[in-house]
Amino acid sequence: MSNRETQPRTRYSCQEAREDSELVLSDRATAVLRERYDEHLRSCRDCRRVHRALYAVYEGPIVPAASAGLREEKEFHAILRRMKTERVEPWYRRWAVGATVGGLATAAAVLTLTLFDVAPEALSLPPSEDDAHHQLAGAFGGSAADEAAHSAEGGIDHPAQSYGRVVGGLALILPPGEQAASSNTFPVGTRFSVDPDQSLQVGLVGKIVANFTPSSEIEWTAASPSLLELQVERGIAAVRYDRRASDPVLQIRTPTAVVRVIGTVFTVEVQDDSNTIVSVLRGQVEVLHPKTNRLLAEVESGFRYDVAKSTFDDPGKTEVEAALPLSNDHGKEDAAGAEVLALADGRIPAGWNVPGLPEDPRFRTVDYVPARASESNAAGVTVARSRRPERAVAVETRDGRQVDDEGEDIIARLTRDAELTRRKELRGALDSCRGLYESVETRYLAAKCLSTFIDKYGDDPLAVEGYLLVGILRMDYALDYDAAEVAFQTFLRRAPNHASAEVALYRMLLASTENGRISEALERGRKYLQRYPNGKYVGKVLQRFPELKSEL
Amino acid sequence: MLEHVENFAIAHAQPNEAAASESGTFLSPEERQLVARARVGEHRALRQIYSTYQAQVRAHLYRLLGQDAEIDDLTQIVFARAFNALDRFQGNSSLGTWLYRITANTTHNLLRQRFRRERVKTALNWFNSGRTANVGSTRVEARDEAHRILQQLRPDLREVFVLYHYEGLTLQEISEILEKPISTIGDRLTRARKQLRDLVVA
Repeated sequence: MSNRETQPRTRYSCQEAREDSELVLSDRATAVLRERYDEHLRSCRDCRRVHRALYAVYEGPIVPAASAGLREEKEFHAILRRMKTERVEPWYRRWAVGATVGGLATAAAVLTLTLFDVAPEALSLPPSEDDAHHQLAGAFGGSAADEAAHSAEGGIDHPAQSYGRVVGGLALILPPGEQAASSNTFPVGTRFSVDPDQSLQVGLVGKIVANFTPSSEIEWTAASPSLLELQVERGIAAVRYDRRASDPVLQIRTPTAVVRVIGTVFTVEVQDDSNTIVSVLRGQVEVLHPKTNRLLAEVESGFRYDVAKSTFDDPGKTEVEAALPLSNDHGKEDAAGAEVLALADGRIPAGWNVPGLPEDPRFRTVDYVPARASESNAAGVTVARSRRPERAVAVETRDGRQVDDEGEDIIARLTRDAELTRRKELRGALDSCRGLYESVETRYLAAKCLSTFIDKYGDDPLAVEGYLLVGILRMDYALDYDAAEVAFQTFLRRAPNHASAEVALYRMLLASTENGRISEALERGRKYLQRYPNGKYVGKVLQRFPELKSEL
Repeated sequence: MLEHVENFAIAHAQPNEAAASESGTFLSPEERQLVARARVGEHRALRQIYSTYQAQVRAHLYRLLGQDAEIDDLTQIVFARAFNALDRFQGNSSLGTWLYRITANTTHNLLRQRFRRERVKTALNWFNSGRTANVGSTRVEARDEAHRILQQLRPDLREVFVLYHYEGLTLQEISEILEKPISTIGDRLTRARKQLRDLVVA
């Protein structure tokens, strides 16, 4: 602390000013000292220079921005690789551990063979992948509260999560080892041959919602805690992936490229000549060479990248139209401050970057997306199909048999009930929602219509199934499991013995599974099996949780 | 060069942590749970630690070393070493302080090597061309100059100055990170300030 402030105002030279500079710069000087210091600076050019230089030193350098997005992801994986290479143990420890383990294993084997009659296969059977997964889930599962925290972080911890579901559309679906799908739930290794007249919408591992355009040929090739992979042979795959910190990276392989995604809305098109075109509407993707993994391009939102020509362009109507069923985007915040997904209403979300599209929400529709020259010639050959009025059946088998679509049954019954009561108003409101629900190309819009219906007629006993439908749509298109659960619970509370209560219970189990709350899902699975031991969804429940077989 | 750095860091980072008691009070229950999950190698927990602290580690390295091509590499080393040493982390400091210690150990040798090299280079330049005019007119130039001045500070003094003035740590925290008595840290800070003033005035 300087004593100069207490001294009479005699002399305050450069020497004193420089000695006090640190006090002034670190804000520890008194007002009197500060005044004398400033006064000296005003009259001394050299001290002003020193002050400026010292100020810059104390202020510190401007630190560059931290890693984010793809760069952050790459760095984290580099750290994991480095961890393994750095974990070097001293040679004597390696030798000691190796020798001890070897010796103990030999002694144990000899003892076992001598004392017991052991079946040969028991000696060589490695733990199954399922066992490993269950052990992992057991080790990390913990309480329901822990699970809630885990599900907020993302990740795939349990094999029950490694399934996909058909949300809507028509396609030949071939799970591995089967001739055709027997339900709308499918495992990794499934191939999709999409109908030439309709698209197919699927959800994968409860985290990704994708739209495959007509005539697409696509296979789901991998689902591990670190990687999800799709192989697009032909057509367009539009994908929305709102990835959380621990979720796997998504990779889409085509004959000419690998598209690596951290989290975004984008389309990958494989043309008839096998050329790949990648368009990004939100976020960023990396395009790599399929054999060498060399980076070909980083494609940001608002760009369309042609792999064969290595050129960038604007996304056009084709891509936007393919991605539109995935348009449940971030909306407002709820009372607790949590972000709520906005219901799709046919408009292009504000978060999507489509060059040339007006900012005004009224004009953010496909009609206002500027068409590329090639599009205006081809007139939307790939996706802009005429909308067929017939039912949008989820899955068909090889012999043309159609597989379950619980939502379709519910809306039909709901309309029938409304007709029986001759409530014209109710029926009219429901008819418009049914029109949207019936076509796979507009089904994603039905959630908003049904929400409006519930707002208006929600108290009517006949409208209770509306809650169930809204829940299903919130879950399938928005992956908004919290909102879906609220809707299912409302339905069950208001109509616990309703004919569709079974669907609601099954959907609640599905919501917990896909949201990563495995112990909650197991509990719900048990309840379902106890209540409906011969139920419609028993097979699906046991497909995901074989450990529940003992409940039957 | 980085191998030397790593060897030094491995030799110095963990022993005190190993000797520390289990009942750490610096971590919240959530952080303790996070560390427990990370210890068994759960990727999402490791990822969460990395996401939370990577900006701190990178910024600290930048302030210590300046613009440097090896910062990315060093960030990876710090986290790889931290993740491998998690089973020896007992929670006797916050995760952030513990990472500062690993960063300090990781950069210890590198800072000294560079300082010696820089000193020789500066002396040669001085001899060859004389002292250049030291006029910083814009804010950006002043900051570049500040960076250059900071790099001339002795590494042990620079570490303390950066941790105190830029990272906002207390003398007590710095003494724990650098494993030196608090009086030594205080003395280094005073000398760092004086040396910086001399460098600026010179």
